[in-house]
Amino acid sequence: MNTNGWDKASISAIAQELKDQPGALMVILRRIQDELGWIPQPSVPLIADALNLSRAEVHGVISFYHDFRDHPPGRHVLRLCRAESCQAMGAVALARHVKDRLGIDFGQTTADGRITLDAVYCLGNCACSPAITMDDDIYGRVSPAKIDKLLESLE
Amino acid sequence: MPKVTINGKELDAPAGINLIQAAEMLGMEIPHYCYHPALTVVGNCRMCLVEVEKAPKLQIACNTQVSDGMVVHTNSERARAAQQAVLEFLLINHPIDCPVCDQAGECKLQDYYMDYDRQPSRFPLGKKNKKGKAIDIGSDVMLDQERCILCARCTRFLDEVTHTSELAIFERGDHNRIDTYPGRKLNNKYAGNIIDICPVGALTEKDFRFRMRVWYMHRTPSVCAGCERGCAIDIYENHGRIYRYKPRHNPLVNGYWMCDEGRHSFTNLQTERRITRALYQSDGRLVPETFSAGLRRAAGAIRKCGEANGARAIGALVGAQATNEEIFALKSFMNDVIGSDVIGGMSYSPPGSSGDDDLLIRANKNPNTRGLSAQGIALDGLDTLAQEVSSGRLKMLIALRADACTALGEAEFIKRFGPLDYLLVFDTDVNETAQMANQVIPIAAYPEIEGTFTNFQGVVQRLHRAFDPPGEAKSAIEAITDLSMLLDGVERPQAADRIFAEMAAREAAFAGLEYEKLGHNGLKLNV
Repeated sequence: MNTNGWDKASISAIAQELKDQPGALMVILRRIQDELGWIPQPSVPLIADALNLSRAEVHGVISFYHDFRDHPPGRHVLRLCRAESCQAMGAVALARHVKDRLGIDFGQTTADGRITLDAVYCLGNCACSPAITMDDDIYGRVSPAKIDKLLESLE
Repeated sequence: MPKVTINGKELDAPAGINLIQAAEMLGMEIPHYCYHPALTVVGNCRMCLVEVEKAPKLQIACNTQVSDGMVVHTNSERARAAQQAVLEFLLINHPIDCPVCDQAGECKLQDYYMDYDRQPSRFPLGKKNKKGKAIDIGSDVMLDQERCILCARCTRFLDEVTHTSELAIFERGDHNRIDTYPGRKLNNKYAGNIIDICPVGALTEKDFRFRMRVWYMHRTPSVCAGCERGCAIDIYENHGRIYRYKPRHNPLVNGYWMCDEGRHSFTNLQTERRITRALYQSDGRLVPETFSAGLRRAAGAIRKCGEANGARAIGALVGAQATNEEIFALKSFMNDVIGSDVIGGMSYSPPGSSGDDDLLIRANKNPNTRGLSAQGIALDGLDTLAQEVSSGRLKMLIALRADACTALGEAEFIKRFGPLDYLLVFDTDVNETAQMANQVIPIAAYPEIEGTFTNFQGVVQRLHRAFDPPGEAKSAIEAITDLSMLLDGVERPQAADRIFAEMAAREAAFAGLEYEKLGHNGLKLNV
């Protein structure tokens, strides 16, 4: 899923395929993000052309949403909730533990390209705080031990 | 018509207008940043919050249409509290660098702070968000992201008026900023307008920055002479030096905008080439003399030529840079004083200048081409007068704001007009024709005179004298009437309004128009 390789032809093809959908810009950006894991900057002119928008307008939308990346992420993306409920249930300590273990800060990727750590603010899983997601899976009541096990299970 | 009451004053408002417009009709201002009458309403600045009776919450005046029986309070406790809160919010991250900000003095943040806020900041300076300053975004526009309040007037102008959308709002929340796409710059001929509509100091003009504080300048309503559109402008000047032009709202001509070319056209008026004394040709050089000596010399030449060759040996060429009154004065001078009807016009636009577009810019770069035609002067003067010269009938030519040599090229000009005995030029600059002339009389440029231009749509607009002409230069009308006084001893009116009245009486196209009634927007010709 998370491939860093991309080419203009495939991005143009996505833009052309989806350009007539309602709210086409978001649909296209999400598809590119899903397929590549990030939105390479050279795709901005291609999308702008397909939708008859300016590059600035497309860039404005991409930069508004933190989930749209302008750099390729690691093979896995770990999102750690830092919002109120999780904070109350130990997310601060959990974050410290994860950062120490991986040797990176929020928004960074481990040197081996294995894991990207992101901060998020509420995953809608407050009843099971603290919550995280690993790639597309959500986990609740996460302790440092549980997260260690999860990290070890990854390739 | 819906009847609305604003702060106790009643108004029969035209249906469909919003509360800001309704208040304006009552002579009241509802403070606003993002609302601009020529752009779509976005309602994002929240400065125009007002209390509308029976509405549970405060309403933004820009997006509230008048309806019958509406009772509005802009001064109530709730409205004042909202205005103060909105200003505090807008100023949270403002750098407060007014002492070095060009907008100071015409800044809506300053104005509204004094009118509606007046509380000390509760936000420590050190905590303010830092963003980009003095970013060159192209087209003479400098961007300061810290001063920006994100009203989105500039992005809407570029989306809706020029359709170029070079600017957008990037990021979000506190990190929101206006910018161009990385590596791109503003790329349109109207970019200067975003500086005008920016209510704060976020967009400033590169050429104007740090040159003059706005409160030292005088503002004079006038008309841009850059092309035949004739956009209504304000001239900002200090001690005879122009610092900037800004568009003046005129629904008949230019709406709220003007092009960048016109905006910077005043630099052509302030060059070393301006003539400040009369000049005459002596041994192949132009030698200065006093204005009155120049006029006496001109009168002598006219008398001599007339006596030797008859009145019709004297002709006139008038450029479409001349005002309606100047054209009329020259025409009357030729007809009544000299007794010649040999008059030609010219309207020259340099090659490579911008062509017609669908907003304002016109390919014809002369402000009064229509005015010239309206007085029955054909624009093919360079051809018809050249024929008079080659047939030997025309011996003397009087050129008023007519740079024939530049229009024709030197070789062609000499071929056509070389055989003349005498070339008398009235102009502002030592242009190529002036260099060829036997004599040059210095005259005032358009910011230095009263008068009118007729734009290509037939709208007659007034110019106003912003300052005096340089050196001994006088208005062309004074120069012409002084010259006629030397020739026949008759005193003629020199004031633009008197000449306009005479013109309206004698020229059918101007019939019924009155100088004093032209007002700020001008009036249309009858034909």
